[in-house]
Amino acid sequence: MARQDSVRNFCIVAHIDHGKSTLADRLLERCGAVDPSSGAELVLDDMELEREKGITIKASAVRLDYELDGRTYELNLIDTPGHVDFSYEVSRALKAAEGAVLLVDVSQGVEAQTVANVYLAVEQGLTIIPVVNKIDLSQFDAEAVAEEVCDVFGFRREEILFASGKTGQGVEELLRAIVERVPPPPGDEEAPLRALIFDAKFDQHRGVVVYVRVMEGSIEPGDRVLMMATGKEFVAQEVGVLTPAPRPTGRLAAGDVGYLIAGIKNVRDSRVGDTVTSAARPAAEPLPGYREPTPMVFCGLYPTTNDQHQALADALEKLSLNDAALRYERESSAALGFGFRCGFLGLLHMEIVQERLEREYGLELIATAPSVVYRIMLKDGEVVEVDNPARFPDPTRIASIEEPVVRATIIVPQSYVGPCMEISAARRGEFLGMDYLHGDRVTLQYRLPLAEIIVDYFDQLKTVSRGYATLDYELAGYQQADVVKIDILVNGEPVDALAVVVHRSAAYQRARAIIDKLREVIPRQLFRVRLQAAIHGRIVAARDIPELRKDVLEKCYGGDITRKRKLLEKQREGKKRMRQVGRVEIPQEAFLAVLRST
Amino acid sequence: MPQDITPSEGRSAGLYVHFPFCLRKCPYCDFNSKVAGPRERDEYIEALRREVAPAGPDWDGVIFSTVYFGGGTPTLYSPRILVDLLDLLRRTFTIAPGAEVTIEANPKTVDIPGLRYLSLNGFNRISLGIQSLDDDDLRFLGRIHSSADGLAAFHSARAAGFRNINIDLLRGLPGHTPEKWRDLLQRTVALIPEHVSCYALTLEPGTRLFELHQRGDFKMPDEQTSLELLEVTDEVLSSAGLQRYEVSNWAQPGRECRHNMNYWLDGDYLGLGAGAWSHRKGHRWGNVAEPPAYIARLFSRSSPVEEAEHLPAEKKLFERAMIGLRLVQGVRWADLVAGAPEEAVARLRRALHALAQDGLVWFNNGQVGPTPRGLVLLNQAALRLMEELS
Repeated sequence: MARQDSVRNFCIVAHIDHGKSTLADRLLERCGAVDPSSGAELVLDDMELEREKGITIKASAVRLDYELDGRTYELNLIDTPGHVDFSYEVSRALKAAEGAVLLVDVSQGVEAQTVANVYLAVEQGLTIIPVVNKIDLSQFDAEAVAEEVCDVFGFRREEILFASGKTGQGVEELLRAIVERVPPPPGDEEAPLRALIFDAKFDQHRGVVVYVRVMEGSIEPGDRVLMMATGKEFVAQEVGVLTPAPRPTGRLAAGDVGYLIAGIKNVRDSRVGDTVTSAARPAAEPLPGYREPTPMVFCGLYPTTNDQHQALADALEKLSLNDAALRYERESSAALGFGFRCGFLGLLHMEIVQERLEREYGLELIATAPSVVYRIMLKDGEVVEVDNPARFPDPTRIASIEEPVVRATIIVPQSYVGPCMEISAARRGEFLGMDYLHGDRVTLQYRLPLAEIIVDYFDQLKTVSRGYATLDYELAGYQQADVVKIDILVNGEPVDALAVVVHRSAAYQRARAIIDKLREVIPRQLFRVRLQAAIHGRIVAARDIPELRKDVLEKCYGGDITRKRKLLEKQREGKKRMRQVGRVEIPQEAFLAVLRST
Repeated sequence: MPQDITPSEGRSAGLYVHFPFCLRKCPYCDFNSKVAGPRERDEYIEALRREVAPAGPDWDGVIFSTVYFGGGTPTLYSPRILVDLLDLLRRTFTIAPGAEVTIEANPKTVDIPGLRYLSLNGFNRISLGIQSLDDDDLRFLGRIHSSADGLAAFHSARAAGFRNINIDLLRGLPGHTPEKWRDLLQRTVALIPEHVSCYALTLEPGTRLFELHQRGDFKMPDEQTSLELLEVTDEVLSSAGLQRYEVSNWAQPGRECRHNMNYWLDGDYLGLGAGAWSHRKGHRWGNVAEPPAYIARLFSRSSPVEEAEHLPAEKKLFERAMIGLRLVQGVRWADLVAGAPEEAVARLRRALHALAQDGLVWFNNGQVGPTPRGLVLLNQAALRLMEELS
């Protein structure tokens, strides 16, 4: 067991922006993995989007060689995504580690997601090392935050460390604590191979790079491996660790964290949570806890012009090579033509995919309002799942409808509890309980329909709490739902892509709000546009957009011509994100406006 | 090399000279103009002369049938300086006999002797920035002259021998009701000008008036009112014998501004001075806009050209359509598409037919032009053309 004795596997649990990536960089620097003079920062976030959004989308792992008291330790830092959409990936990353560094930003205190992730880590038996981070921000009271951390999680005061990713203060103490407090990984090298996949990325040159934690047995290049959930077999070509540059090691054995390359072409064949075993000597059973990624939010993605349809199909195929959670299938809309119904883990996931499609593949897209999956019981006994309001069965055929609900945890200062409760109640939230944290902070528990929180809920919580509220949620099954579909008609024609499902009690009010909002976002056209909302075929709200009657540049002489053309070109750029429905040009915002008009 | 689409043969060119200085900057104006001291103004004339001299050979063989001194306020300079400059242009370029030679003037900067000197020495058209014959309007616009100054300037120009006078007017000011506007127009046409340019006041970002409006200091007329004001304009001017021939221009028959017509018919032109633009066979270039930079360049013998573009055939075609449709009479189809690639022509034809179906454009006898509705919705028409052509 001498080899495993010098290995430590740990991850960092932190809320977005609590400084995880920066602190990780300091750890890497201290262990010689990154040259501090190179100016390279945030090495764990390797996608442009991740940096912009200040979040980590994909987990990855880095090997640190750390010397302590004359002995070299292999520390494996396993990165975890910081957003609620990726909670399953977080749980797998936690499974790959024995310890977790809990980072709490001194300026923010404990937040809802952190709580959720710490509980996850505790459930899985991880040793937690609490760290109050960003202590270079001297205007905040690090001692008070330390007390809060003790209060919320039951640590002893002397367990708390203090650090600053910015200055490097406390990094040494943290590394020592990792070695001293986190137990070395267990596992029998001689047993049949069982390695947990906690991440997988598609690399253009190497195919899929699979990140694994070997639990038992070992793996070497040339071994035939079997993915136990998907049943796919591959031949291991290379195994190694990331330092953060890939370094082939020739072998990964029980307790090790590293990568595996095996000529895999699609991330769907090596899914997060699956178990890699030996094809020749398979394990009796896989590691527990594998779960198919379940998309919770769906929307239609359509190119703004029909000639981009094939390009969108190609781009989705390529993206899904690297994103096992992304689902898509062809659909067509009477209004928008041919496109795709896409499923996402959550709203952030949806935004990221959309942005990548536009940025990396140069596509211009119209996204329809996101929807959850309704379970509809028909009168003939059949049950159908509907993820697109446009496909709702005729109401006369429906016996009952169920919708997905979540259990939401909100942490907020006491003075903002009132408004947070109001918003949650307005969104059909069922109050489950309230706990007091240290200081003046409160945890609120709600049961809420998923449909009510996929748009704007988080933003509203932030607004009414001046940015202090934090939210976490988990899916909590289905419940009976009294919902109806609102159809939107433009110049008398129903626009399927604008249909939306809402709770019956709010239907009339919402229908009016949607029409008002559409009237704002649809630009005036060369003719009058009639907007109507209908429920069960009955018009419940209507307004007109008056025709545009004057739009001309008064002066246009020699020097104005170029300027004028450029002005028009700019306007034209703006119009590109519009979709012609019948004769009416409808901008992208309109499709989201149907949900944002509360 | 993108294909050139050159204007039809035999058309002559226009010559523009920009004077970027004013006595005071008007709060609605976003033109290239400013207040400057005498030294900068003198150096500017010297710089202009230095730009003129080497340009001659480049334009050898081109006949200029119009000259236009615009601004700013060209008449800030003495008539002698202006005439000397015109003489320099005559010595340097080929200016056709009978060329239309226009000068813009602010009513506060003219008197009969000065105007007489200009009219005797080659200027045969004057454009007066009268803007309004209502003193409240003029105060709102921050003009340095009164309505009496405007009237006096007009009579002075006549007395000095100008037989071709334009009056600039601004409509759609706060308080312009159709009735009040009709009255203002009637007082204007009573002067019997050969030409009226009438623009709706537009608030340009960056101007003082724009800011005041943002602040809520005054209200602009609504769409309905501004359309009515336009109707009244056309009604009063046309019954006074002034025909609308462009979005914002009315003239007695034969008195259309030839210099500006050349712009709208996509002719060649040479622009001299700060921020002036030139166009020749699909190439377009513009001088640096700030007078000190313009002066510095010419004093250091470097080129004043700041921006240049060559338009590929599709863009050129789009531009011709975009500006050609400003003309009430429209443009000849053959001129519009001369030299353009067939495929682009087909797309243009399709786009124009679609516009015709929406009642924005007409076709007649090999001519294509805007309907009255098209004239007030030209930006929409242009956007549709751009979509089809790009």
